[in-house]
Amino acid sequence: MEAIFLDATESRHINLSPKTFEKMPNLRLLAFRDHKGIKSVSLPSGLDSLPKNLRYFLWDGYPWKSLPPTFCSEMLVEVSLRDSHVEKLWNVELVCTVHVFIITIFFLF
Amino acid sequence: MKSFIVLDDVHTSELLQNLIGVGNGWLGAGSIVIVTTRDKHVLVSGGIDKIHQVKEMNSRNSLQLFSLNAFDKVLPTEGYVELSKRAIDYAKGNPLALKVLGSFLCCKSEIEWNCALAKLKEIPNAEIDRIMRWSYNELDDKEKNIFLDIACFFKGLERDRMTKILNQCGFFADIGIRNLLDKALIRVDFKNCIQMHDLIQEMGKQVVHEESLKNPEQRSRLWDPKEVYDVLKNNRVRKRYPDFPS
Repeated sequence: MEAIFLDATESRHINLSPKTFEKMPNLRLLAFRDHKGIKSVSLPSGLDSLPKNLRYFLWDGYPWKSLPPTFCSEMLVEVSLRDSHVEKLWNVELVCTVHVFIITIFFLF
Repeated sequence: MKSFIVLDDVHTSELLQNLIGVGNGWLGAGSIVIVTTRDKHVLVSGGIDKIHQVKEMNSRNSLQLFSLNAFDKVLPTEGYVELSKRAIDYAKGNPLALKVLGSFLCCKSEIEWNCALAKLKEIPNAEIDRIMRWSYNELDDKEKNIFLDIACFFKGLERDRMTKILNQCGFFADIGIRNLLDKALIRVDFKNCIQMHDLIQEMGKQVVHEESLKNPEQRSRLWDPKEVYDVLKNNRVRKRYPDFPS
């Protein structure tokens, strides 16, 4: 699996497991688009990891305050976390790479 | 001597250079050469200076072309007006699709029209799909990946942003996107965003669909909300019972 695009406005509600992306090491592009704030994608127990090959990462309304601590951002080019609760993108021990050229975060609070 | 030459569906610029010597001055004054191609680069490197890109047909011409093929006259037969509008809406001004669909639906019953048009919402017409793939099949692997990413994921994204992401994926996107533009598989709109005709996008999605007809999780790209739901949900179910023997 290399790319997943979900328009949340067209989807049933889904609870994702913390290990959802562990079986998708080749995932390059991930987008959970939710312009209407329907929040049909939930992460009740948090998220353990994101694929290390991710280049594009969009998650409208990402529900947690930070991204997985093990997330390696070396390949990442674009992150968009509109209407999310994210307060910090990476823990201090992780290096934010120069590839990331766009970060769109609109805080709800 | 004054000549009028038409070359249809030319694939290489060599043919232009050798066959007619465009620009070499041996055609008589006032000669006209018309070349059609699916790759703009063939014309540019073949020395042809006046390039006309065929636009989508407007609704009036679409109705006429479709009706000529479906009813052998310029307007639909009574009782088939609404059905014709649905078929034309599917073709989105593409002359090839209008012609193929018109011929296909010709002499068929109202029930068959309804059924065929409903089917088009799920799978593309085989003949249109086959022709649409000619240009796709000429792409190399990197270009195919760019094309499929646009069809399934990026359609509508700003060109520079898309280029950076696809470069990072290792697809050599600057030259790849240029080639897709030359082959008219994509276009750039007035906001500098990459767009793709609905029928071409459908062909791209069909290519990915055929990677695994029955198992969405084995395909390279997922975009259908129901399939994304199923794949992510099943993933969750498997993970909830880690001790269950597989």
